Amino acid sequence: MIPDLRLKSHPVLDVSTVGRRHVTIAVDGRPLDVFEGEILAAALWANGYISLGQNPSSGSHHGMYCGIGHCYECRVTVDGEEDVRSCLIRVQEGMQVHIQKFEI
Amino acid sequence: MKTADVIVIGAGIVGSSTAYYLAKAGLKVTLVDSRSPVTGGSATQACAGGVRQQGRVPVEIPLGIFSIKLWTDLEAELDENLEYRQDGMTVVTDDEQQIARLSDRVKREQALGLDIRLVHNSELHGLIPGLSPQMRVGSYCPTDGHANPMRTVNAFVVAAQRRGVRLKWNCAAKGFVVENNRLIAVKTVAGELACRYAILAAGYWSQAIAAAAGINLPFQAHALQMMVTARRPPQLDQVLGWVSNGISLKQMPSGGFVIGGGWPGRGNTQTYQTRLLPGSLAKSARTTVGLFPSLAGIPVLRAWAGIEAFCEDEMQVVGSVPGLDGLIMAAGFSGHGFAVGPGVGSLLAQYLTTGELSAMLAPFTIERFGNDFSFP
Repeated sequence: MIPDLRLKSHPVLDVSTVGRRHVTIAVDGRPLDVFEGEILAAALWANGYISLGQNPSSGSHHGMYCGIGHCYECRVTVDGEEDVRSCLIRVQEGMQVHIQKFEI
Repeated sequence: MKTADVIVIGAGIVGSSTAYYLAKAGLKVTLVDSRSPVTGGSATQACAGGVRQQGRVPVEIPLGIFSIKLWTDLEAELDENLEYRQDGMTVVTDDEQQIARLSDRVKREQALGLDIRLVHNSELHGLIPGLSPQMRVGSYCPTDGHANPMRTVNAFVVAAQRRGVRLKWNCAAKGFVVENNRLIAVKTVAGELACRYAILAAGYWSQAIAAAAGINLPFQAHALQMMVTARRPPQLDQVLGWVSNGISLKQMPSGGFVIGGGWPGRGNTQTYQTRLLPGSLAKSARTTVGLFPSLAGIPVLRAWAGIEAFCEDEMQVVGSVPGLDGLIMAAGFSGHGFAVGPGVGSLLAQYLTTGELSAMLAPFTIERFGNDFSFP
């Protein structure tokens, strides 16, 4: 069981989760309970999906890095569309997410 | 006391391979770089990794053939995975007018001993599944290929170090100490380094270093742009070129497609900073989709640029400098230095150990500019 990695408190930002509505997405077929309107990359990170793939040559991992759409390291497959930057989209009920695996 | 027999200035593909082959030949070598190998903004960093023989000027074809023979054994020689693939390269065209020119080039290169032939229509498309159906003819050279430039330079540097080469990074060369027309030391930001020979392999930045010794290298700096796409399953073995469209395309072993071909960006030679031109990126991406349609919709993950030295006749300057004993040029490769880098390094090692400059390097000496190379 991966602990919820979200901030519990912040001196400036409101990070309260009380009363927020939940939606369910699926990551590689596994249901994931996340907050409505959450950025997909944040929802993945909060649930332990920090590695979003590996370089097939070196084996090194990639995952969310810049968080603002520049680096493309957080790309995943969403509802069949490949290489979607998870830091740029919000979760939606029933969203099907796949971590990209690339076999040589 | 001498600190080295040879100081090699510049740790790109040319300098690193030269340092390696010199040490292999038994010389005491120091390799210096103003920063460190393959850092941002440099020519090897901007290299698309093509290891080709075809499409060179005729006088460079023998050097290309020689160098590819070295490449074939290079991974074993350096004991490193260079992601080298010798799966061929084909330069294609859909333009009736270009077919005759392509055919002439192939004949010329065949006469120079290159294994290359013209392939048409169904044979062409059989060789390259996924090629745009509009392409009609290609020049297919089965011994061309591609490799990873960063891995290759790093492998040369590590192998050079294993053979005793001293490495000095953040050690920019500023000029030379000359006595009686003979070079005795290289001036660097870290002081003077005594040597018998200096090999100037600092790409565009060779120009300023040579100018300090009164030598005029007719170089211009061009920043060339590169792109790499997201990974896709293997579908392209060969390197693809498109006549007159400035595209080179290859798929790396990690699955990304690398798009190069000399698209201009902007570069600052003082700061090494480069700037991408979005219009140039978009046009090269569009052109590439016209060559290999299945790339449509694959995102470009990254684009970058690096500064290459283009010599006025687009040929490198290699060999000794008349009137300045001990200085040897190896710069100005004008966008086609990666494949021939190991060949040049090997032949320069032969030159320093035997005194004989290979006929393969003779077309590239600075004397081709007459007396114009030295400042009045």
